[in-house]
Amino acid sequence: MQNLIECRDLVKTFPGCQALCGVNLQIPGGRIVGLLGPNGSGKSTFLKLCNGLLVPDSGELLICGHAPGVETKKVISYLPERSYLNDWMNVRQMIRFFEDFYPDFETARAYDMLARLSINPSQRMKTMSKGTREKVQLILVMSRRAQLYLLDEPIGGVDPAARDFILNTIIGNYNPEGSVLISTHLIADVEQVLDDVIFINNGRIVLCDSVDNIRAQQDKSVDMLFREVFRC
Amino acid sequence: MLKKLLKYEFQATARFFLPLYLLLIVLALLTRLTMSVTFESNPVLKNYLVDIPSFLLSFAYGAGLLSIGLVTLLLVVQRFYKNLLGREGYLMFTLPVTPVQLLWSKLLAALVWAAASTLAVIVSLFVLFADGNVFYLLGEMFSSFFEALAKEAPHSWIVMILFLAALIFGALHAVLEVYMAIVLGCQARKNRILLGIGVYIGLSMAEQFLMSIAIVSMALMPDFTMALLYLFGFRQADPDTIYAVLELFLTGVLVFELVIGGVYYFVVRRMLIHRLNLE
Repeated sequence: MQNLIECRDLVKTFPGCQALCGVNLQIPGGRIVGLLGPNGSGKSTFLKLCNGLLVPDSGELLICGHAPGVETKKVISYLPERSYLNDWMNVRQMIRFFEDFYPDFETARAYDMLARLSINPSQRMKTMSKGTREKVQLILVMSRRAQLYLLDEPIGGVDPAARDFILNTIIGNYNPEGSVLISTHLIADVEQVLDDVIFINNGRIVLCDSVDNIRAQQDKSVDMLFREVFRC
Repeated sequence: MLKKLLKYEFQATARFFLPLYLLLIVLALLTRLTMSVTFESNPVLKNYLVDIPSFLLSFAYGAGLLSIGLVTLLLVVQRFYKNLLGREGYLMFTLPVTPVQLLWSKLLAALVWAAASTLAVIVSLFVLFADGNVFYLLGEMFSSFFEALAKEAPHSWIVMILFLAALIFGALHAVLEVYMAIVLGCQARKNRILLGIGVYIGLSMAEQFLMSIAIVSMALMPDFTMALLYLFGFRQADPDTIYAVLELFLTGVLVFELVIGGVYYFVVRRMLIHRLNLE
């Protein structure tokens, strides 16, 4: 089976810092993968490269066999770290927007999730609390039948109860043939849902393994291993 | 996909423009009404009921005219800066569309609104001043214009087309110059707006310099001076020379707009593809 993400010697530099230095990675379909690393380790840069928001300096990056572009944007559902929806629209307009641009968007599922959280579809994005806005963003992103879900810090800014909702929404809604890549530094919270983990530090992949292997071979939780690897 | 992008672009901007156009026309209508009321029998009442409201309304109408210009400019800047290069850029640049389509959706919408704003101002002026006489004069003007156009074809048509093309590409060039300044300003981590304004001033100065060189070199051509003398009536008119020089001049303007606008277009396009630096 073709890997969903395949990158070879991927390098990205910003003025004054090397964000990714020669990353090699393959992510197959049907997995929930944690992209784990401390702040500034290159997680967001990697996700932005996959989305075509940044262009690599060198190396190769293929999503479902294509270089990032219109074709790959059709199959990727991306949740950026920050709130990114149009403030002046209400939820219903935002759903129509997604429906218009993404043929794989499932409107009924979006409204269903909104109803379960008692979010009013007529409410404007601008008037929502930060937590509600993040939930709406996640609902929109997870209502697509995408091949690849790239979620940048989906649980970063919310309380523990909302974290559970978010993780349940992710595992309850992703396309089982596709893969989910979750970037975060809150390991303990996501560990339970992950199949594989990738540790990244200073732009380099430190470790790439399945959670089962880590538990069996090292007899440690991912959280414990993370604390060991990234000890300050 | 460009169609869909344009649909949302117009949705996002119409909510500012349409109420503003309506307000301007209503203000023009009210100003005209107060101007047409006469209350000569009672000077005190006339002062309170006619003169003061009329003064305030015409002041508001003037402010409306000014704000249409300002809002058009601000929205050209804001839709590009906020929707593409601000945090909304994460949404727009991950849609299954090309950066070029995004650029054209902004450009075309800006062009349409600039034209619509001009039209709204013209309509409001009509509401304010037009009467039978004005329409009669305009009718006369247009009919003699079209007569001249028909009589002096094909030269007159060539000049018309060149003029319209220069107008459209001039507008595109003006919008692209703003985009260029924004895109370059956004390459900085801090003080993006300040840098953008600096770039804009720099670009305008460079253009002025180029333009003055072009005008001086044109003025040095003997034919050109001759044509100016003809045009201002110092000599007996020779239509062929006038047309030849007009065509040359307009072609020069068009080439200037195309070259400078083209350079901006390719730089902005390249930056959006390769050097997108979202907040």
